[in-house]
Amino acid sequence: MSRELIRSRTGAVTGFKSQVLLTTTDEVAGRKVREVKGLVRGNSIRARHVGHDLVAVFRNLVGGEIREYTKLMGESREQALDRLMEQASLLGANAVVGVRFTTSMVMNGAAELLAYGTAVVLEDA
Amino acid sequence: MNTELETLLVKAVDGLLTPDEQARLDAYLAEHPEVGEALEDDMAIKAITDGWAQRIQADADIEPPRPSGPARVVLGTGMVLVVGAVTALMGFALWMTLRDPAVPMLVRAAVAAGAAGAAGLLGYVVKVRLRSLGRDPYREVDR
Repeated sequence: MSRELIRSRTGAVTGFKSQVLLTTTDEVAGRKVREVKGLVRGNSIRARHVGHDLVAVFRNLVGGEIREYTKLMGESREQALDRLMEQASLLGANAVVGVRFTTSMVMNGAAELLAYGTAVVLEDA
Repeated sequence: MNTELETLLVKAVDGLLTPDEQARLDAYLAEHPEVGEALEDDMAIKAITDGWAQRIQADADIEPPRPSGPARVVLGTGMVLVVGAVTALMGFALWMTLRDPAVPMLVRAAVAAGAAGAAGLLGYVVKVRLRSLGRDPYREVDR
């Protein structure tokens, strides 16, 4: 599965380009909502292997960014977004407005990331 | 706005003007102060974006998003040694418990059942993980 990656200027992969328009706003400039398809959501709970947890524990001792968990959260976020977009696409929507993220710790070293929003069909205003 | 002026403004924002271009731009700005104000706004925005670009680069310089070859070897070796040592110690403790005649038979049976169950569960998740290793589309994400 090849998807277009979003890379920072330092080369780090920060996500994938979305196939569905995602926005945190309720309205999209220059377009109007023709139909509301309803709530869509996607969640993911991921963990890193025990080796990364060990490195994270050591990083916790000395301070600084815990990159192992930054990556973990990034992976969860992208997977949750993919699931949200899949739901929107199955409903026949071409955009998700009012997208929000929420997170919770399910167990030590594993985090849930839930993305939700309202699937809509947008048309040019 | 003419193309030459646009080019001069963009170069001014990036700090790439030659002395001759700077003189021409100064002459134009003297007659059009409103363009000068817009240029100051653009330069302020550039200063902000340069600021965060430098911070992101500095962060990447401290530790790259993907560990280098030698760093991967150090991290991998450390992880294998620690996990291997813990597994060996737990295995030894289990073996000693099962062999110890002072431990009641019921306890030994419970320990053996627990160990067998844990091994089965671990084997299952390891098998699934090994199957998905390298195929996880999200492992590319760095942050």
